[in-house]
Amino acid sequence: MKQARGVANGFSEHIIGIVSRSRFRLPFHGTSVFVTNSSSLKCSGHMAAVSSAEIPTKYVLGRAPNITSVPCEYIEDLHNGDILSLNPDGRVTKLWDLRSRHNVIFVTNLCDCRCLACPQPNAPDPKDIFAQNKWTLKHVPRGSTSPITFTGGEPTLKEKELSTLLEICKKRVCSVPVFLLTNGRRLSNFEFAKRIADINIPNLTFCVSIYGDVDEIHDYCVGAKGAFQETVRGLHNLARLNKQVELRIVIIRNNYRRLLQIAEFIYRNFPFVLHVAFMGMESTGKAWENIKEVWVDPVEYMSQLHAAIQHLHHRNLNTSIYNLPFCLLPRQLWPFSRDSISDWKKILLPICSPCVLREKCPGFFTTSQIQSSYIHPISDSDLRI
Amino acid sequence: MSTKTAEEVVRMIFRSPSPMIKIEFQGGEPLLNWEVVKHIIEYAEKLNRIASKYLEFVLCTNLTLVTEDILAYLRLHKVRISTSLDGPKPLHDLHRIKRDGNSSYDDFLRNLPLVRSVVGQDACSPLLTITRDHLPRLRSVIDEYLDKGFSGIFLRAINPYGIAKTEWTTLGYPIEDFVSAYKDAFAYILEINKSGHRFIEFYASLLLNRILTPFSTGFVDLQSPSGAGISGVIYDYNGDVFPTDESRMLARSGDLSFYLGNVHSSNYEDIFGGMRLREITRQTCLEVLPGCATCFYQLYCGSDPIRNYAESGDIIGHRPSSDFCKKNMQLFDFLFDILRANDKKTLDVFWSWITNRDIKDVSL
Repeated sequence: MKQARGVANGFSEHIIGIVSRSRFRLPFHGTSVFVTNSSSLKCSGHMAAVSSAEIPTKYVLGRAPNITSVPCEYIEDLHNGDILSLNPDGRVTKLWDLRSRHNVIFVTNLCDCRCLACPQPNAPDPKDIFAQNKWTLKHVPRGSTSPITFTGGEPTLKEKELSTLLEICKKRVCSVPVFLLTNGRRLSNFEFAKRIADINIPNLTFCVSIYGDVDEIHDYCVGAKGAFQETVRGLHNLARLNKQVELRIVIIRNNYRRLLQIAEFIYRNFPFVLHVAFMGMESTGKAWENIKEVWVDPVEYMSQLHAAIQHLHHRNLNTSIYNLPFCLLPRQLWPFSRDSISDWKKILLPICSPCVLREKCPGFFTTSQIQSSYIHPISDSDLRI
Repeated sequence: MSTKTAEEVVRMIFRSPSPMIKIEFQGGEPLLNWEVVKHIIEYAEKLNRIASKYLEFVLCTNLTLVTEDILAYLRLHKVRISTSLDGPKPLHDLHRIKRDGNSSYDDFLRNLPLVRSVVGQDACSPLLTITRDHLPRLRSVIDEYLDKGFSGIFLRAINPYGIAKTEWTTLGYPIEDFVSAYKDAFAYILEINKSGHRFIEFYASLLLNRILTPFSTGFVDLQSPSGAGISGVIYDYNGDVFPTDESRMLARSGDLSFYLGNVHSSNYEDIFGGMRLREITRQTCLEVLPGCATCFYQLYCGSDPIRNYAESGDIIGHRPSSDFCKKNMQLFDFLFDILRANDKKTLDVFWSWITNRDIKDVSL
């Protein structure tokens, strides 16, 4: 979620509201936040204001709660209907982007795994995280077509919260694709899996991450003994409940040699999955701390990835490659590449500027601290070969 | 078969616990008793309104008697047609002469376009019976299948039952001859596929499916324990029940070893829960059969109790002298050699067969 920092004035509790670019609040628009580039915060009916202008404190005292001196680009990127959270420490966070295809609900920061390549380490939850998520989902416009992704942490650790959020989701925007990112461990309890499944969102896909075809590798990569067995049982419970399942394999140094075996394991044991995604890693958080152990340049694993994709494609299992730019993939694998990185954390590098595929490229994580040393622009003449 | 027997049979069929029911009409020529065929279809559909199983019908016919009305009926009730095609005219007519001495190939050829126009292009699939006369000419048989627009061919060796057994000296052949003819035909089929025209050899496709996928094929002749009586069952015209068609033929020649009962006089539990069927099932698990228990192809193979009985006098059989075993061992060797070569184009072909996709959709 896109964040920026400014100077907060006049409030001590965290505020959440819908962006309005107009000084006058339209009726029935709920709690709104006036967003402007102007140095005048004069507005009517809004509960707070955000501005890019630097305004001396004496002029904003007595006004509605506000955050000033937010970067101009950030303000430009806020549109009517987006949902914003304002923190008394000056942080502004865009919780919902009406124009984005990558809206995410962080159910919790807690996790029952300690993945070596985790980009988003386990942390205690802010006390109002649930209220904020509820508020956000309740204010997504009814006609919205943007897919909704529930992630964490591990969302299944907070059953009550997750169920409530899914129920809201079902009531408000029942036809949009909903993704639940999970390690699947809790789903090994059939009763639990059934409770989640029974919420019965028609377009819900469980996106389960798996690192290996054997417990040794998987358990080591997720830092939890017994996790592999639980995840496998969870996957079979989802199949038994007739739910849609996607498998996600993050490729790291610890598992890249077994991509083909993982593909065969999936075909033999989970032939019911709708989709298998092989993913380039995001080198931040824990992954950056463990970078020496987990980093492998994508070019090093390309032959294994090629074989695994060929294996699943032969077997008519939908397969995709996430988070890897075209220039690192052999031409035959391009059709499997997806524009997978959330728009709020996707960038292209300076070296990409002459590349003819830059528009379609999945690009890179802004957050990643290390990139492949084989990244290069693709020219028209490359395409003609 | 009388209407009364037919209804008893259908009621017996619907006692099955299976969620999928396929009723296949065989003969003789089922179209000679068309009224009863229709009655069975409609009675089964009626029972299925309550049973709601996945219900399918297949009619095995030589196509000589089909009319537009019959075909329209088959289309309406989604009945698939299984027929016979033994190759180009001289080869087909060699062993399939009509009672009046005329060519059955001409009837087939005349009626095929009618079948396709009324029921649909893929409504009709032919089976090939390979006799001694076919062995050196399989390539011309394949050309005939291609020419008539069929999507594949099932290369299966002739079984020594019924007329084929009494005429074994003129029709039969050593199984080694079949295997070498099969290999030659298979090479030809691969060539056709690699040139971009998808054409399936169905037996190889079944075996590959068993070797390479986690799915079952539903092919009753290659199961462990045997599918005889538990995956498929034969109801004779008079209501007699047999585990396989071969055991029905044995009964014709006086051997009632596999007779399971009659729909008029036996109840479901006695037929399908009786000692006779239990014995067949119990003694056809590959894990305990001498020879099969230690065979490396056990996972992919099956047992044929009636064939064993016909050849060696008991349902366990004698592997060293079994043609069934010889044939399958050699075909497995053959396919595994091809798989080991790991040729990308060949694998593309295999997967296009298994997953029912075009070759170009399978390759990267």
